[in-house]
Amino acid sequence: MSTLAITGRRRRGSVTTCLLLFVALVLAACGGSASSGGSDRADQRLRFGLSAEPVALKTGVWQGSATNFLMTLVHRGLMIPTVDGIQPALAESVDTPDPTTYVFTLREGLTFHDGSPLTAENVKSSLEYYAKPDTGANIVAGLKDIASIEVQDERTVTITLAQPNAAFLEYLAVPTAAIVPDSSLNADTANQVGAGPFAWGELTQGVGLTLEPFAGYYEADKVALDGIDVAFYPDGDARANALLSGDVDMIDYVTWENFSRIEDADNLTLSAEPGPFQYVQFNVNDGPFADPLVRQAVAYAINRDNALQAAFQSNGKILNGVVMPQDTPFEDLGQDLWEHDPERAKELLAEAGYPDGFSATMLATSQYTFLQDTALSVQQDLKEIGIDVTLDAPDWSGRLEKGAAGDYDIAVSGEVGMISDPSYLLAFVQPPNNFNRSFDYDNQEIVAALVESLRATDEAQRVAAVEKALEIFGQDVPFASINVRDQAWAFTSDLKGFENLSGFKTFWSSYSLATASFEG
Amino acid sequence: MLPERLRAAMTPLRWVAFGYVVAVLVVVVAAPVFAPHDPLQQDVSLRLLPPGTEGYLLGTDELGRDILSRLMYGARVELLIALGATLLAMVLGTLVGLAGGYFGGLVEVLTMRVGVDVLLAFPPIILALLAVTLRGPGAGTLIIAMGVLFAPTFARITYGQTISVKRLEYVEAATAFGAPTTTRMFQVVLPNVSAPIIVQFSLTIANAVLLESGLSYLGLGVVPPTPSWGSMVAQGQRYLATEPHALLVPGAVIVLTILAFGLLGDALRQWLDPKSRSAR
Amino acid sequence: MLGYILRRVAVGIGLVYLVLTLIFLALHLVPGDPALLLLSQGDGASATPEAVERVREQLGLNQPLLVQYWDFLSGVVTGDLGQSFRTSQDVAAAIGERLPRTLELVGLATLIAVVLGIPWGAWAARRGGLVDSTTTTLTSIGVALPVFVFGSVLILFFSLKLAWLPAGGFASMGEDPGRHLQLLVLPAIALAVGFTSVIARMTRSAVQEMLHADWVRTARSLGLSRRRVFRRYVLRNSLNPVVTVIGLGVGTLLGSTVLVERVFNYPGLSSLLVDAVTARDYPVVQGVVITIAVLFIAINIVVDVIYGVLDPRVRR
Repeated sequence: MSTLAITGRRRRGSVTTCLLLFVALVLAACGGSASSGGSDRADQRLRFGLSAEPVALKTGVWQGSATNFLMTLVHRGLMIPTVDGIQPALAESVDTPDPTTYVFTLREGLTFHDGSPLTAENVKSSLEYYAKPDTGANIVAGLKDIASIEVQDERTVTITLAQPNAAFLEYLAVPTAAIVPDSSLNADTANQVGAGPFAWGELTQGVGLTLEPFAGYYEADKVALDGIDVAFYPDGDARANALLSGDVDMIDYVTWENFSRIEDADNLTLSAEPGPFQYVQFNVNDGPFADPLVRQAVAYAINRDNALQAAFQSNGKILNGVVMPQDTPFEDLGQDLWEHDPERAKELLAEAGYPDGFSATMLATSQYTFLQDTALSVQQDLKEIGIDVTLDAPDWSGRLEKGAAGDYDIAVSGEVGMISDPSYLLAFVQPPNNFNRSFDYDNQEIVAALVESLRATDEAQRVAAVEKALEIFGQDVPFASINVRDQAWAFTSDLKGFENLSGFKTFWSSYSLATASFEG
Repeated sequence: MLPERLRAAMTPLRWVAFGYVVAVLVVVVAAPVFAPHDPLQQDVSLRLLPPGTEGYLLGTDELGRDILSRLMYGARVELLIALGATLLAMVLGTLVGLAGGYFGGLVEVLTMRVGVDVLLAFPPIILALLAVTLRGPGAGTLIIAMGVLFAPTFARITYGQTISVKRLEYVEAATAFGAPTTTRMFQVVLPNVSAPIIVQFSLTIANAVLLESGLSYLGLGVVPPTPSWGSMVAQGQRYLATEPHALLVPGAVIVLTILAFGLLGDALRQWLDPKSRSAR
Repeated sequence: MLGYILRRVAVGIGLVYLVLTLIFLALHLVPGDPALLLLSQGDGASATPEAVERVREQLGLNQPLLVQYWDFLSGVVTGDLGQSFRTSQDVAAAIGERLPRTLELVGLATLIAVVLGIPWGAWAARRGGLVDSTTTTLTSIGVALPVFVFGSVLILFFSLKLAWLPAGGFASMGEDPGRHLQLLVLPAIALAVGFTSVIARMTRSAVQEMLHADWVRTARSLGLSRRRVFRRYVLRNSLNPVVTVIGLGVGTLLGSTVLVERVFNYPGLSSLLVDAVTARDYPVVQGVVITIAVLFIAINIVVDVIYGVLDPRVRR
């Protein structure tokens, strides 16, 4: 025993000395160079705090907002969403001689990051790849109508549709619709070579990646940033703290608890736009929620002001109907399909044969606090009309699986449409099932009306068709809307030129970093 | 009248701790009587009121629920989880350690090597994570997961004690008198190894409370809206910079409770452990 | 002696085998489809069934469980831990990147805890009275303080208010050593608080026990000064249980730094593990668990062997 003690002591002695030295070194380093992290703009490099670590990029596949962020910087498609609507990007111009013909003229001298030229052939092969369902490409639905893609010459492509599609150009402006080299058109090559303003630099897993300006970009002269150093900050508070402490210049996805902290800071700008909408989805396979009257009752029971304040500190707006694209003839349609009216909800329940209510399970998730708080708020509202709801809150992965398998009675979700055109609703009202739409819900009347609007070439006819669809929507309640949440970016105020796109496209606002710069 | 040894172990501070624990237990039993509000009743117009607001002594949380009432009801869940997990760990660990230490040989390999060492080789967080993802979150899952997680410590303590006790004269005497194995294990050996196990009990409760709050922070705690202290801290953490009371109030209760259990553990050790007889 | 070591190593390999089998089975029991998850990031259109099926095939998830198990085992034996479902990164490389970071963090936290905890505990035991009860209270708070709460407070104060240190993140030692060390300070302190408290408490009670031992009285009666007895004998003999606690603590810390890593956005091994479970990234989970298990078991063997060398009675 004593041997052990003595040996131990001798070793401890020397180790302690070494370690003490190390501590001294650490403290010296900290004392010496404790910088404030303030903005001494020696260069135009943007330090960006990104809300998730992007997964390996797969061509054409929707992989979440972090990945889309990179897509908007590294890649370009034929079209681009801007604050002024959908504009040509790689295309210099688009001609539509008739509603089913689109002639794209590419800009001159386009090249990919690897130096190879970007020609009409690349457009053809990329779009044909995205039109195949088994590639996992998310714009499949939008390209279904393509009858042929013809290359006229190096810079001209003619796409012929089998029938008119009012949302076609919008689909081409989705970040995953980027034109990529043929070598990227498979599931195994990382989709890192594009024709966008920034080229893929160096990725350090779990830490961050660098993006370098690309001299061959078609508007390279307008790119002011010397590069972007992306750091991954999955935790919302850590991300906000990084911006507040000056560790980064800009962050995406500001969590709502942190809105006021950033707004109160002198040198920071918070840019919020209404983005995804929250709603209650139903399992209509059997049970009470197969009855539209019960679904209506839920839609009338929800106290939307409460839910908005509980989950988002009122950063957003309540939604008594369905999100419609702003600044279009559709914007006023279907905005008041339901309202908070518990008495009406109780009547509807009684009419459906449940005067004393019933019990049900509600699927939420423990991973996203805003969904959990929304669920808690809705739970209380439903209790008031006699529906006794038990929460099921697995992690996000479990939530996806249960949602996809219909293992719930009702569930709360937050979602965006891939496009803003009213036809985005098609994904919510017909098969196939997925985790965030009402399980087994199928209403061909709504589908028919929405498709009619998509095909119509006359604006009045389009509006009338959507109006019809929304009328049925209000009665049949494919989902019960709750609110539209504000989605925010935040940055140091000397960053100019960032433009926040409103609506579903707010996640893609990083397109405008191509023309952003630090000033003053 | 208390035995002299126990009286010596109970310093005034430890009496305060004892009083606190009793008070918590009373609240646990009679939460509905004491709680001024329904712990689940939301009113977001009253969200994040500071402590001292009329009618809401300790303020409200982000959904406008009364923090005091939630603390009272939360004590039920918290103690259920902490005590449940600790008891489970103690029973499991003691049995395993006792068997391993007493029988030796193959039993020892199976219990201490295969059982305990394999468990210890798993990072604790992964055990909890897997349990929660497998069974779904909830108090029952937490009790089982944490019970299994804390069991190896009890097993090791019991094992070590058993080995040193089983060669002593009175155990040999019991064997010589022909006492059956179970009698020897539970009536002769167990009482003589129990002091450090009981001390470990109070330490483990503190660990359980702490782990519960950590798991809540990762979204693996009890299912809302049921309040637990850990989930209240985890929720309040989001408002640390702007409305710190939502975190500080339940945080203070956790610290006080762990402090109280720690003090009682010290008292227990002094009382039960003959070696520290002369201490103080 | 050699036989003893070989026996321990053989048992260790057996343990690792058990651990990796258990983790493999547990993961495949857990609900959640990695392929579905890869294609559903929750803020956009969801994947078509064809696409999900294709990804399942790519990941080898459509094969029978036994085949997957066999592939996994033969991979491990040849040192190939597979590739991450999410990032396609080689799992062994990912662990090689992350493990040193966590070791560094745990090492620094342990250092702080030892340097502060042992003298503190010894001081409290010797002085008694107010110092002692204050120590008991403070260490109880230290033990009871959730690490994510304390970490957030540190950030609020030192990063946001005083702007002395960055709020979190990571910089590699090779590229920016100054920032690398700065970034380590706050997480290490946050991690060290609980550990310091545990060590201080352990030291306190061990020293207290020693102070009342008969041989201390004997030494004093032999005319040795109180100070000399304490320095020379009491402290030294009290350290054995403390060293045991430190050893155990370091082992536990290795797999439990996730909360600190989360708060400080520190890309260590523990957060890799938790994120991988969340994403059902089976190869990464398996790889990290095996790594931690091997480390843990190896440390145990080394400790046992040292005990065996020092005390022949342990070798049987």
